Amino acid sequence: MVFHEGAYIYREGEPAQHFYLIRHGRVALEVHVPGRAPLIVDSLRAGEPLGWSWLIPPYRTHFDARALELTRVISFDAECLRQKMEENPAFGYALHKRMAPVIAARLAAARRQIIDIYGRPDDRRTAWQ
Amino acid sequence: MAIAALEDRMQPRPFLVERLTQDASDTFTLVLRPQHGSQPFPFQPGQFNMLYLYGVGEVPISISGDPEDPEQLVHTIRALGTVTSAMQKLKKGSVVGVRGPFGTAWPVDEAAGADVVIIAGGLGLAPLRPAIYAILAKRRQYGRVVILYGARTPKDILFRQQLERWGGRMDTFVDVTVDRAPSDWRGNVGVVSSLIGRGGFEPEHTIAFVCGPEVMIRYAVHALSDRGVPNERIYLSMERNMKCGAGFCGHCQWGGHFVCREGPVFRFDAIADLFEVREL
Ligand SMILES: Cc1cc2nc3c(=O)[nH]c(=O)nc-3n(C[C@H](O)[C@H](O)[C@H](O)COP(=O)(O)OP(=O)(O)OC[C@H]3O[C@@H](n4cnc5c(N)ncnc54)[C@H](O)[C@@H]3O)c2cc1C
Ligand code: FES
Repeated sequence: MVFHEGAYIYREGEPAQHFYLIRHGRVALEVHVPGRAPLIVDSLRAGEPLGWSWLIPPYRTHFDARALELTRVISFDAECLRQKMEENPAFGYALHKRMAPVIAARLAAARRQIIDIYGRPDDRRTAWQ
Repeated sequence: MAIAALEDRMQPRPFLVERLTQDASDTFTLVLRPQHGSQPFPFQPGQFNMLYLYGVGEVPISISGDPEDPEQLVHTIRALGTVTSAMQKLKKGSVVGVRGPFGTAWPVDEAAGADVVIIAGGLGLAPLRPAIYAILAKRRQYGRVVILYGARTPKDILFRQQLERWGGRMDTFVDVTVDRAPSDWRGNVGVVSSLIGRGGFEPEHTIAFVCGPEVMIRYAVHALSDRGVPNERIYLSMERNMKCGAGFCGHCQWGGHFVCREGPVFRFDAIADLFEVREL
């Protein structure tokens, strides 16, 4: 599938019907807060999986995903994948084993981002922020 | 140490502000030249000066200029407190006292023949810029050169035009990321350590220079180790409060080290154990 620059691949809160792998291009994950300008909180590149909401109930997307440039993705039907994982636990486990590190790495990165390491230090001990 | 040499280290030399440019709302670059004569000011990348604002106070600030251009003394400063905020108000012709250069340097010459990975966060790019100048001036002596930079938001990116220029060179890989961005930002969003995998360097033949907030240094060092860069090939620059800057007062003590004399640039294996200690 091809998404042109600016096109939304999915929107926050939608049922996660697909699992995407980015083959080419870049994708921004955005949060829209009413009354505030949208904020990009992560960006993904070629070779990276896009989203994991399809894997974890209630299978709803958490962010808006927008192509930052012409982006090509491989798309898998989430429903079909989930069914195969149920039927074939070895396959299901293998896929979980691949996705778990991705989810863990993104969680750790998100936590680092919110500690605002470049912000003004309280104790003024450092300035190289 | 002979008294004369000691006085030399403790006595600020007067310099005049040649130029003050605003890099971001609270960050500015000061270009200084000697008040008397035109003696050049040789320094090594990574070293710092004690800058003295008469009647206000003295602060350690890294040199951010080109070591090949010792006629100009350049510092990039974040207005944080009493002294640095007063410095932001300086005008062309104002006098600043300078003691230095002090401290250890990035091992730019020793890195010849290796891939070089430079990881900077926030204002940490300032102490690394002299090393980047020196490496790019002798670009052929190095393998891959990778510059990874993280900032808070796109507005906070330091030396933006220079980063773009370096990134435009065919022989240098530059990648920039921010923690969050408005929707018109076309670049990366995420932590700087997440860029490490994209550098395409050979870990065991890499020398890495890291500077930024201490937490960022920690994550970057872990990410480099995870990739296989040996501890003895990772260098980082530490920041501690200082008074004399010259190894006399002990104000900058960190574990068993005086940061002003044995640092600010340390080889990671020499301080790895201290680095994991929580409050020092
Ligand atoms: C090796 C090294 C390199 C550095 N490089 C840079 C750099 O390139 N750019 C940069 O922006 N920062 C750099 N810093 C950090 C910089 O030195 C501090 O941000 C700076 O010292 C803050 O000083 P301030 O007076 O503005 O802030 P304050 O927090 O107000 O004061 C910090 C220090 O100033 C003195 N001081 C100021 N006011 C008072 C007072 N009222 N009473 C008593 N003491 C006072 C004290 O010594 C105090 O510890 C570096 C630090 C080190 C150690
Ligand atoms: S600042 Fe005085 S010994 Fe380091």
